[in-house]
Amino acid sequence: MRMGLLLFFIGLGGGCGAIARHLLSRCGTQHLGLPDFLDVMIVNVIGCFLIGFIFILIAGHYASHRQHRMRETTLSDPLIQRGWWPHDDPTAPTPDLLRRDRVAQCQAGFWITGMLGGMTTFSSFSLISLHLFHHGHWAFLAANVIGSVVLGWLAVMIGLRLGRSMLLRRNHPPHHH
Amino acid sequence: MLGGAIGALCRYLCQSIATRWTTMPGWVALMVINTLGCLIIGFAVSWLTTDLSTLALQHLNPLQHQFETTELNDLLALIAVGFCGAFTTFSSFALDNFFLGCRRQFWMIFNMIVSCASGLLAVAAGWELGLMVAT
Repeated sequence: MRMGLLLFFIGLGGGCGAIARHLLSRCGTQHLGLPDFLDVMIVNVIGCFLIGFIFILIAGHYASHRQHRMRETTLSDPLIQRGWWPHDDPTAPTPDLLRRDRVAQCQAGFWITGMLGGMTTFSSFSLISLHLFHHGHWAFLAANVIGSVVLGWLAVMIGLRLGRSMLLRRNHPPHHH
Repeated sequence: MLGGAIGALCRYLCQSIATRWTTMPGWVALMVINTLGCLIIGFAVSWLTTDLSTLALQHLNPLQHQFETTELNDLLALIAVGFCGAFTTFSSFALDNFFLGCRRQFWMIFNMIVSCASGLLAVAAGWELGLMVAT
């Protein structure tokens, strides 16, 4: 039952994410006149930012409010400190990281594994890179690959930091005297 | 939309099974999944576009908008792009890179380079396979 519910949410999110990707890249192509690789890169980078942001919001929300249930998860440490390697594997799929809390698991499954996983794509990125390679556009190929990876990494970091500051501001509101 | 739903589901199931039944860490599982997805999309797109009348379209300049507007075998191509697009993921890849970068910088660089390289190789291999199958 629990697994079924999670799978339902993941599937739903995946469908929405694929639609979002289709709409965004069509908007980029038709209205902004961007080349294909830039479309995919922008969608991927937006997805990377959102994954950092949403990941820490979900994990932080459920860690701070349901301490007793989250005690055995890998995320029970305060999220202020990064990197709980090597005690657990933070690169495991997020719903598995949050498996002790069903709501957190389903949320993570829908938003992260489903929506963002469906919105960002590695296969279209690779296919377009192959096309660029075939046509000999080395500069664009390098820009696509390096740009996507580096900008995506930066976007994840920015998303995590923004989410963290939002969480901190919510849990420890600044006092105005 | 259905392709996307199935793709995301398959990705989660593959990752879950891989991390529970084998000793590989999550990011290696994702790398394998992304590579597999690239293989599938390379195969699917080249197989579906290798029609005598559309062979010329494969040589269109990808810097222009031709990739989205070619006359592909619509339904199957959309399923391929939808499924592969959701089966592979860039955001989880970037998140993994970040967490690897926290403590295991070497594996982060490794992940970045090997994922991209094997993805490219897989699309190329899939493309050739699709051409071979279609002709």
